[in-house]
Amino acid sequence: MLQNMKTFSEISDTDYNLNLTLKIKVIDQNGYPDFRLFLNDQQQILGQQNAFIIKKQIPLVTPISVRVELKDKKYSLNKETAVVIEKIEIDDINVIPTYNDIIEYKNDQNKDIKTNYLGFNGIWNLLIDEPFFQWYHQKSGQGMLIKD
Amino acid sequence: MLKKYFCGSPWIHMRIENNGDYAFCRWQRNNNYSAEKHNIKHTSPLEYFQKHMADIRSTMLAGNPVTACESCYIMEKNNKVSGRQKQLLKIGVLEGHFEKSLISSPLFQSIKYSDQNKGHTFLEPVDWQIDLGNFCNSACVMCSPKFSSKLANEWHHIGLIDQPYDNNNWAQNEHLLEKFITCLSGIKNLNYLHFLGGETLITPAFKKMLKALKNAGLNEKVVIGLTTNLTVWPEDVIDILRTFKNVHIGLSIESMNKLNDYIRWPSKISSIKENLKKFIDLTDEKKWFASLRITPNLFTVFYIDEVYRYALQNNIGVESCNFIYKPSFLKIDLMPDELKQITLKKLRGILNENHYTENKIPVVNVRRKEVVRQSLIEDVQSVIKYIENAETDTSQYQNLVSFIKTIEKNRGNSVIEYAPEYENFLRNIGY
Repeated sequence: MLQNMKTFSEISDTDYNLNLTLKIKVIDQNGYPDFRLFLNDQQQILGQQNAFIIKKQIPLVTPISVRVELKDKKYSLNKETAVVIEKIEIDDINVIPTYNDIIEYKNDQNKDIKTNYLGFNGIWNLLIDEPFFQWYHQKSGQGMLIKD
Repeated sequence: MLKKYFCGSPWIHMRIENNGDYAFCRWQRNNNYSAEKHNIKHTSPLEYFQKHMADIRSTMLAGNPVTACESCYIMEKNNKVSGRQKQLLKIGVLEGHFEKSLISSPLFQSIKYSDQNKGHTFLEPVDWQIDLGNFCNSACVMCSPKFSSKLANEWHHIGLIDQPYDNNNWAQNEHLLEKFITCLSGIKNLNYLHFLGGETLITPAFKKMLKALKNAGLNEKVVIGLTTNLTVWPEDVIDILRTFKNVHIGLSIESMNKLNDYIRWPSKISSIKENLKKFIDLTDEKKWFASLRITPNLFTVFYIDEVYRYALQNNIGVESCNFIYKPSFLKIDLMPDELKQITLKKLRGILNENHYTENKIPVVNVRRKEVVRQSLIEDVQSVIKYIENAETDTSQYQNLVSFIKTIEKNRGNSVIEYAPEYENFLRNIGY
């Protein structure tokens, strides 16, 4: 259906969403990590697994936020506990790890790092604060974007 | 179907031609377009854009083709990046995500307004092609008096036109030029101005325009584009241009060998190459963008591989506006099969050397250093595809012979001296 829209009105009258895919890996050598995942400020209910693939439909033109809060990790030299955001894709466009530079990671080690490997207690935040395709246009070097 | 025919151009762009007539697009084919003409003498640019382009917008919003947009449809059929694709990108529409990126476009609400109001818009044209007149010191064989004063004089002299050509360059009228500059200066988000002639760098209005834009503080904000035939290096104009932050320079060349002298008469390839180097150095120094602007025709396409190789060696883009369709007797379609096969072999060699694999969606924003190689290779592939698909057009052979014999008599040259591989073909058709 999407490919056969004949007129602008047909497109304009159709509700479109973005398809978000989030792939997470959990490292639990030193105990299962205490973490919470929020998509657009809505907490996602997760079980205790070593890997998750979450697929959600999100609005097309509103800001997108993915937040992971990790706490109570006991640091050890020999065993690791961590959460890895292996992939975030939106409509088959890879956002993480391709655009790791937009990550904000406030952590208890005060490391200023752009990473999708959450090895510290803290809050990992990804925010796209404009319509996704406008953001992607700029990020992927598509040149001038004319606004009215 | 909307995805196939819709274009962002009528919401952002318009053109003013050498005689002051307006056009809805720099790529439009005027011979397919019979709408009423509007001229700067009688109609303001904003009125033309907002009101008289309404029909074009309505046609596109209905998902219908526009006959004057044929150049872009042909480019896309041959996997060449078209004007339509470039203009869609400027409003944020990505081909692989057409519907969603259209709704996400910053102009979506304005486009919706047009859809609900018979194509009208309150937007202003922020992207322009400005033709400043046919002042030109070249008389390229594929050109016309409309774009070259030198050619206009020659054609009258040798009887190709009966009357002296009325140049009627709008930009020579100080009052109109001032009015136009005032209009441009008032456009809120003015974005891109591409200047054409004639030879832009010797056109008096170009220098005036640059000064006015600089005085209005637009040199930091607006991207300037221009195309030059590489025959001149006017220091005074270059100095003003240097004050502009972002410039895209199109460097017109059709061949790296002496065939360029024949096609772009009376220029000489040795001095063309000298100026070419100067412009490349300038754009490197200023971090501007430069590309070789080619319009492959019946003769030059045979040697076009040399242009692509030069571009690859110098990491410079290659852009051509479209596949030549005027004059029809210089179309690539006239090539006999033997010469087509040799050309294809040479072009395929470039693809092989560069390990080309076809991308579903070609690079559209070609004006970036990091994609020069990829977009150039894709352009090679589009030329290959065009040649492969073109049926040999014999209907224009007599027109070809008649035309080149007429101009060669005046110029004292012969195409066979510059493209000897064409001798058999030309003799067979009466040359």
